[in-house]
Amino acid sequence: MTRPASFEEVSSLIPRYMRPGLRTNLASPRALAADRLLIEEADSGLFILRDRGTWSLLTFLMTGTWLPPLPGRVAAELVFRPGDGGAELTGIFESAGFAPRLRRLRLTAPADIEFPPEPGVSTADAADLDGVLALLRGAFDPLTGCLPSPGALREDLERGNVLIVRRGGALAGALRFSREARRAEIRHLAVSPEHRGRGIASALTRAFLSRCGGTTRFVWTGSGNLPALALYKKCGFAPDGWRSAVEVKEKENGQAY
Amino acid sequence: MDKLIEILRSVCPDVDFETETDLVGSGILTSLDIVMIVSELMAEYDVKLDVDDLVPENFMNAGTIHALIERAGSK
Repeated sequence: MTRPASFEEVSSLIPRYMRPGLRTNLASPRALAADRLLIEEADSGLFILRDRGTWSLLTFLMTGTWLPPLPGRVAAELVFRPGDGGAELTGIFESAGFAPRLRRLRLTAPADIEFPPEPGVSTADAADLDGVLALLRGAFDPLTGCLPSPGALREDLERGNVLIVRRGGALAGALRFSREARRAEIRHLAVSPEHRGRGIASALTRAFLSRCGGTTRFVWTGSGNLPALALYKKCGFAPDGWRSAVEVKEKENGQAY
Repeated sequence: MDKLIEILRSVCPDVDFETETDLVGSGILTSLDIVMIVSELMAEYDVKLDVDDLVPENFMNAGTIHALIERAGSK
């Protein structure tokens, strides 16, 4: 694999691999600009490793079925449209040494579901950065959790896109979301272990639904996370057919970076 | 436009491209759909698009997607 000289080098390569029948997990090409990258160009596609310190996140644009050798520990999220069972792509990755780590479902709450404001929930500000980051890091698997960098979380706080609940002056729960004109998405929801089972996750979810009223609201959650699925269902979310699988290849000889 | 709708349906069979006016803003079309749609359009229309074309405003509806192809074809 090679290290590109600049993001422009990568962005000029990407269209060359956008061919009919493409299988990809590239959602936001511009997001690649923030990462240290390694790339591999092959007949079967373009493979981009994004440095995450002790592991790498794989972004791919594939039209073939061959995966190149990938150094170090690598995680890849495979995303499937409604109706796509995903067996073929999952099979390609698992034949290349990847193993399933997490399955996710996307749930949707339609725009006409309304909730009143939630009194016990407030909007976090810049002073909450470290507390929210610690809460998220404690609640999510670093390999599958899509955790924000401190810089990205700071931007979310500036936009008012983090809701929190305090108990006794301490941060008990947080919900991080993104919002566009007609859609909004829960990115992370976490409650500290000592405050679980007291309705804090429900309050945060209702506050999000209230805050983003009039938009179609989305959340991805683990397909085996039954408490989360029950909570979201109670708040008006339902599975919409989109699914994903996080596949992980453990470290071999050699380091990626 | 019929050809375009046919191509769009081949990528996203569950999406109503003929009547929806804000496919991205409403969350019907995902950013992943956009990448796959562009891959099909570049081959079908023999046009070159780049990553800066993969922005939501180009994919709001069939009309804006058609305009994107027209612009790319005249480059």
